[in-house]
Amino acid sequence: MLDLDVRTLFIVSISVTLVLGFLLLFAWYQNREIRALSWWSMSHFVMCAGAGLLGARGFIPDVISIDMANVMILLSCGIGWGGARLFDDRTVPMSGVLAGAILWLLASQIPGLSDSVNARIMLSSVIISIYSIGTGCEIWRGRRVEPLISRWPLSATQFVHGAVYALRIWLVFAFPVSPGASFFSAIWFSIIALESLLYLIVSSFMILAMAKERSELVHKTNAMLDPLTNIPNRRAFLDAAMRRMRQRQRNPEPVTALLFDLDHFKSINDRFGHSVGDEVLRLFTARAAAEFRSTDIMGRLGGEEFGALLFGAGEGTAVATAERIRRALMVATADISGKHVDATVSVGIAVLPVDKVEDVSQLLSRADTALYLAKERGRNRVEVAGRSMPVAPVEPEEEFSVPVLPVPALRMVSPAVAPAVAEWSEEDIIEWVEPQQLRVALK
Amino acid sequence: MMLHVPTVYAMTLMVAALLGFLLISVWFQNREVRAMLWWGTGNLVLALGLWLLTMRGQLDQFYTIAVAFFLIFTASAMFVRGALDFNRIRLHPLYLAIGPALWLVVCQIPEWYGSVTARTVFLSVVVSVNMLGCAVVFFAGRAERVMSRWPLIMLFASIGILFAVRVPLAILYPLEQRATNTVEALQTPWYSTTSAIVLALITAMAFLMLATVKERAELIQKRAADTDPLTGLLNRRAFLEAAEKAFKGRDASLAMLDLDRFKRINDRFGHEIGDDALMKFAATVRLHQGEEWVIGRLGGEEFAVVANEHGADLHSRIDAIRAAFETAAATIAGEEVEATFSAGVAGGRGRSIRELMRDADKALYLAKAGGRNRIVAHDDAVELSLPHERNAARKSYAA
Repeated sequence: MLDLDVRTLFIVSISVTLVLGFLLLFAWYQNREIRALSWWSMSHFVMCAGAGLLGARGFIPDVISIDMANVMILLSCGIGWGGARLFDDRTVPMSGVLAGAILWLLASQIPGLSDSVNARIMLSSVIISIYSIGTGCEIWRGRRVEPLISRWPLSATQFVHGAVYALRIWLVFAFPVSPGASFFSAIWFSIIALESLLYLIVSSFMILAMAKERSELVHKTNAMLDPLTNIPNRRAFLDAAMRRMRQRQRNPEPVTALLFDLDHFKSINDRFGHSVGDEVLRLFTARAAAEFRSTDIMGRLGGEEFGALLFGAGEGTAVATAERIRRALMVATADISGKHVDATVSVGIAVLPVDKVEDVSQLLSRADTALYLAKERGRNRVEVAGRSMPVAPVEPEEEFSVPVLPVPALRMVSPAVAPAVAEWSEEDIIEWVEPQQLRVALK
Repeated sequence: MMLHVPTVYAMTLMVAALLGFLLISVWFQNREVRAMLWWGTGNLVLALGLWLLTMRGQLDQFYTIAVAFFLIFTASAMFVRGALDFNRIRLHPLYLAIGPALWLVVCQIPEWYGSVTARTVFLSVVVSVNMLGCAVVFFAGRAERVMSRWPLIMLFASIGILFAVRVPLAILYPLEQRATNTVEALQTPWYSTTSAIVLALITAMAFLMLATVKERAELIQKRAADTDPLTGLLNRRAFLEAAEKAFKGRDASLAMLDLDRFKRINDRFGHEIGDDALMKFAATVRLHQGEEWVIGRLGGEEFAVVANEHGADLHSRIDAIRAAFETAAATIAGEEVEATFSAGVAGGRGRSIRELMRDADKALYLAKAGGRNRIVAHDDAVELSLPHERNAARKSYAA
């Protein structure tokens, strides 16, 4: 196996690296937003050029075949490291990319070093090893933010490659290259060259897999998000809720479910247009999201209905949070580009104490009952499931001192027209009722 | 200078084995794509065959020739099998057995079996046919818009052509003439060069296989992320993206369509009938859609169409849909649902999709207020009264 022809090994490795560079360039062409691919492709091309110059030793001046070649190979490693930082949207310090190459250039000015083949090999091995391990760490760091399976094998490959080059430092000690001998004559040269080729193939393969996994993850995430509000959609919310409830079996903690339903949303759409209706949904999401902690989960269950699960929160916290959201929505929608939309929300809350067990659908259905109660009791209010007494609304600020009770009030005051009203759809009724109008009437 | 054939062989077998493991590990992550397993195994079998070839002199000829060639033919048949699998094309497995079976026949003919040139010609023909077959299979599956397919087709074709070119080369420059043993016989410029190129191409092949398989997974995810599951139309986000992309720098018209009294349909007939109405609506729009239309479900019962027709042209097209839907949705599942929709249409030079949506929405409101089941165009010249202004006017009139 060791009777390999070193020159053949070298030439074929360079060609394969070149092909890999083009393949990564093609991958970048397909996913332009992953700019790291173009860096990695560039790293391959620079490596080819450097290795080519190294192989042309004897045909071209030594300055080019030694200094220039090594600088290019180290630059290629620097670019690879920069690509890894870029992949996870970290800044790429140019000083870091160029450090290896510059260090080499400076060191080559030292007389003792520039004369000794072994010292040169040792220096470049140290730098390559550091870059490789650094690249592995950069890939590894991103695993929590963006869990891509290929991060594992890719960073492992980088670590192994780093270790092999660290080993080369020892090899130089154990089997020094005799001065004046051909660069290719060292016993371990074939092994290192072969390792480099296999490393390049595996790492390029994993880079491609990782980039493709990212695009796949982006689409997967899109499929889980509600496009209008950018929060989890019904399916994603229920999936997350079930997952968290299973975790709760191991670490018991109280959970509260909150169901929100915007009041008379259809009427808002009809009166102000869908763009205002959409804006109301976005405002609600933003205000609500601001009140939740990172451990809570929230989702749009459909239309104007939203759900949230608060973990580790009892009834008091949940009611206070719901009240803040309810009032924040009124403030936010009091004036939407000059229109007095005055959107309100009803909230149903169900509490699951720390020692009780219930599945997600049971909990949500109790919250739904509370929500129904909130709607029955006049909307724009918070109700807790299982409490006979209505939740006393926290004293609102001055500007909202007039209770807003639009449609039910109308239904109550006009029993005489009940048969006719039954024929109307909700949208027909509320098209004619303005909260402002009722406020005036109540005054 | 000439490349050293045993070195190229050794490198190829190592690279093929490595790529085989990589492809199989990818298959392990997503076992639905069986093609990955075929290709990965194909690479491993190829590596094994090449290893036997390099063992010439150390092992019995039966292994280094008969078995080695058999494995290489099996490997190339496995590549074809993977290509068929990936492109969901059915072919009787017996066709794939032709290559290995023919080799067994060749083994019975001493003149052929004993000649390096004859063996090389035979191997080149079989591999060439298989690789060209892979290219044809991938070309046949081109309806699926996976971009990596094209370089892969080119690659299969080049491998096929490369092996085909070896046939006249082997006949023009017979390998026997200059050899005392096989290794030396193979050490000719054309043989060593083509072998090295094959190594590079095998590497590229594994990469493009990975790219193609991953791209399909991506495409499936993208489709799921972009479409509304009920109607199969684009969802809000995908609609906006597609509309902006399709009409970048061009004037577009936009229609907002909204089913009339949809809440009442749901309340009265149940959500199933409501869903049926939405699906019927989507089908009707699709049936009458223009060539360049982008159609999306914005949410609930609200839809939008971006079109390259303007003014009266679009108006009449939408009206045709309106009439068709009125007829189609009069009864759904035996119920007299009488579903209809209203539409607002907007156009104008140099307006963005979002501006058009706002205008069309205002027009849609007027269509609703004007009695529903109708189309209203937003006219830039006339400032439309806003809903709450209209209500205010009514109130003051009532007072």
